[in-house]
Amino acid sequence: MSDQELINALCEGNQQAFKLLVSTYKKSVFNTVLGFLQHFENAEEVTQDVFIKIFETIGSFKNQSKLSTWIYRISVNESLDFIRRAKRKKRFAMITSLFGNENEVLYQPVEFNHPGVLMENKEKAAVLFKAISQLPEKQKTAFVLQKVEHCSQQKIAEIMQLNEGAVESLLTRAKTNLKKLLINYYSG
Amino acid sequence: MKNTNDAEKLAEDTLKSLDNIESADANDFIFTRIQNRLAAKQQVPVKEKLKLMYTLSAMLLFFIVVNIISFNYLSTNTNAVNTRQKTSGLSAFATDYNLDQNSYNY
Repeated sequence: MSDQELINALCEGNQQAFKLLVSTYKKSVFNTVLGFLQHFENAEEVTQDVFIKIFETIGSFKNQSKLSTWIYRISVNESLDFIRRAKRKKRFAMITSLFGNENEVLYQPVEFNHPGVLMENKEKAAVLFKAISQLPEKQKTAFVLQKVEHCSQQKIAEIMQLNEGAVESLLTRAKTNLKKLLINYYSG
Repeated sequence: MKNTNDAEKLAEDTLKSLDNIESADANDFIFTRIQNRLAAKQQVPVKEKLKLMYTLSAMLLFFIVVNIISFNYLSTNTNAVNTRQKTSGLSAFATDYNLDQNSYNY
């Protein structure tokens, strides 16, 4: 089934087409989301959110980009939204705790071990993921898409709706910032 | 604590640690879970519509009750005012023409 046929079938609410879409893209969506959130349960929840959003908004897809690019874009946006919401909740919990309210710990990033990392790199990858989570959103997006999802610079540019030069600059800045963070970590 | 060169070397190695990373796969039951969530989402608007319907019905009932009470109250008061007005008009007339006295002065 071509992308266009899949889109048409989805617009008609065809469940088989939706099942096909999920089975085709679930790996790339989950892997991208996991790269951002670094938490399995949250990544699974956001992956579900992504497919629900696709199902609900497929009618607004205008064929200006490839279906896969559009799906990546939704995955990135949903992941970043989730992180922003979690940070807001954490900030609010901190403020209310100042006034004596007891709050559960809402979002405490723990050491993350990606299942696709080679055994000998596990420890270093966990340190790198912690540093990635401290990058600004655009740098983080470009870096995660390149390193975790192995997207080309052209694909990243399409997903982020930027030109390739801007993506290259984002990647360079991301690597510089990561290196600084890592040097601080190892020398501290 | 490491010296600067060691730290730099470690940072470089760490940056390369994701070079051969493989993709993580999602749960096999993800489609079923998505379907369940979609079904639950579709049930929510029905509940909301019912809630809205009950709220509007309650508001309408309240409006009708308030109107009935107001109508009853106003109609009772208007009769009382009319009677009072009629009575006070007559007594004023009687006072003016000295018709309210029981004794006659011939």
